[in-house]
Amino acid sequence: MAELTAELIQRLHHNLDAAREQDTARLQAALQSSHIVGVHGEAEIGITSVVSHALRGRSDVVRIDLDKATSVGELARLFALATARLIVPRTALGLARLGPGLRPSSARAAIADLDRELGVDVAHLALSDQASPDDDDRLPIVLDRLAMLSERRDVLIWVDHLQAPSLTPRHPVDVGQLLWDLRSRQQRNPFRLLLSGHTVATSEATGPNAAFYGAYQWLALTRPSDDQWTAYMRALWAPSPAPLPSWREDLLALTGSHPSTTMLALAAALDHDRPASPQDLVRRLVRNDPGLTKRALQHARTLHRLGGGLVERISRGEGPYVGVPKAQQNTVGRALADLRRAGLLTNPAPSQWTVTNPLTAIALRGIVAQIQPALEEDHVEDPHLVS
Amino acid sequence: HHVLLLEERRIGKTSIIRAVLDRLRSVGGVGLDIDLSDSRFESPEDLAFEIAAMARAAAVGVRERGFLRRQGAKATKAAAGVTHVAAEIATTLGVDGAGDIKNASKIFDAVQAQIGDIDTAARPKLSSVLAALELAAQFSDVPIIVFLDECQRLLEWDPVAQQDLAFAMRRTDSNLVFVFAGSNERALTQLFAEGMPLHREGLRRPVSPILVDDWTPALIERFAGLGIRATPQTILTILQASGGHPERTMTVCAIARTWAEDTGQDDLNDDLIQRAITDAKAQNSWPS
Repeated sequence: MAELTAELIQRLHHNLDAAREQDTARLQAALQSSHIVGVHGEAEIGITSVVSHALRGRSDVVRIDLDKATSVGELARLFALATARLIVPRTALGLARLGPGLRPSSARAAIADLDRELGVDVAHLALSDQASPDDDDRLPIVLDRLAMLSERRDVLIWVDHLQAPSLTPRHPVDVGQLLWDLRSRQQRNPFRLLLSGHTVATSEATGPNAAFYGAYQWLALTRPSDDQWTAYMRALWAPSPAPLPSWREDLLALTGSHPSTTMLALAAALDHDRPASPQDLVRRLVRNDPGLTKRALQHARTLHRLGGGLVERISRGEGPYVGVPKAQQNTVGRALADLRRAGLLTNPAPSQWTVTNPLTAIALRGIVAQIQPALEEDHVEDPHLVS
Repeated sequence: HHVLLLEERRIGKTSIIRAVLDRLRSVGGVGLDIDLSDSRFESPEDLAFEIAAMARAAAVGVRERGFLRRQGAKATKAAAGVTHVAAEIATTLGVDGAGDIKNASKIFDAVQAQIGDIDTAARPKLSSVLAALELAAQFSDVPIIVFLDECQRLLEWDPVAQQDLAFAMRRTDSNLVFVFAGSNERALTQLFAEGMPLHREGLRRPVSPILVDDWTPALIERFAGLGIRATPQTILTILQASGGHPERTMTVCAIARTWAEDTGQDDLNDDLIQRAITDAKAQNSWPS
């Protein structure tokens, strides 16, 4: 098996970026024609990678990862820092954090630039290591300064992982309000907005009473297609021939085209004239599990009391509602929604459920074989159920 | 006259009002553009603070004081001319007595106290700030338009905010005009319903559709500015597809422009327009 060096990992990801060039091109075209673009999909399909690749080379991106926004003040700091990166080079920003006596002249000049462009208060926040509780009130000011900056230069605000705050009960960051804050400024200032995240979070942006109702272009991403994997494998094995189509089909059937699992399996198959069978490769990966399956089950149980059981059933291809009394079906529905939002389950098509990570699914059911997605059976639609 | 714009979302309400405010400012008027959806607004005091800050930035009050200094005796006479109005308003600001009312300087001191350089920790009263604006508008005879976008948020606050706004709206001859708009039709209908403080007959104004005769020359001119030739028939094709909806129309035009530039065409032919329409209809914002 080829050793997973940093170079190989980079090559694996780079080739996948190239193979998904069509997705990248769609996104770039959307950004040209719309001021507000959204990208969504199920968990672990590589949304952040595709978007990052589409934005490569651009110097106008303010990227905010809501996974890191632990408080409103921290969100303000993230915005301030990302805005500061538009104004001064990263190295200068890093040096600017040194004590006054240690800063080189380039860093002092950088601080002066930040003070002038953002104001002393926002510049200070950008250079802070973490936000203080007082910084909770600074978010409107930071957004104002960013909006004003967009009058003087191109700005694309990319808010990633829209679903992140909804994963924690009583999370202090209100994504809906953040989007209204961005909308009110975008109506008055010329910046572009790119939102990305799990499909479950799209209603935060585009529901009937949400900030961007009717004002967006959403792109749905799916796992890489057969054609994309074919191109990927051809590039990965070049100049040697790639494995046979039947081998590829068998592998993708086992991995469900899950990007990271498929890449791991392909990495394991490299450097062999005759790669091991897909079943052997996947079996090897499952055996080398450092405890992720156990952790996934534990996570499922913390999300909902039915969580662990549902993940196990769905890993076996059993419908989540089979044998469930009607009176309890709403509870199952809520559990499914929680597990999906957390990324443990995937809803690839209406009424179909799979465990997101195929290695977890295989480890739970104990058999290395393709199974069909679990279907919702005997399920009565509850119009009041919030999905 | 005060106005409520209550229309479907994405029809262009904010754009229309902003264009009006821009025109007002170009002729020396004052336009205050406030979006209540911003998270900085959590109470009537937050709104008052923002109105005061915007008025200060627009030199409201300062300008009128300067005018009065230059005019001298004439100014006092002018001030006396609006005494009957000023007296009522000035009381709100703590300026009492006939003698004080005739002294315009004291009135403007009171105005400045509300919208001058105030402590950022101060929590001004909405009624006082609105009274100051009204006084300033009366003396200067220059209209002040306060645009409250996403005004349905007023329902979330202490009802005193609605009462203060309603009080400021009571005179039909005032130079202080309020424009309201919002995205939540149900909440807006509730806010301006009969029996509510802000209810007024004739407040609601419909947003008229843009006529083909207005679309056509404007879009032809816009395309020409980009070096692209469009004909009235081309524009009509776009409008038929978009139903004349402003955003959908502009989406088709934007895509058509991109196609024209990418293919090096300087003429919007039928094929290009149809492709642009197809692409626009594929967007989520286009209703199915």
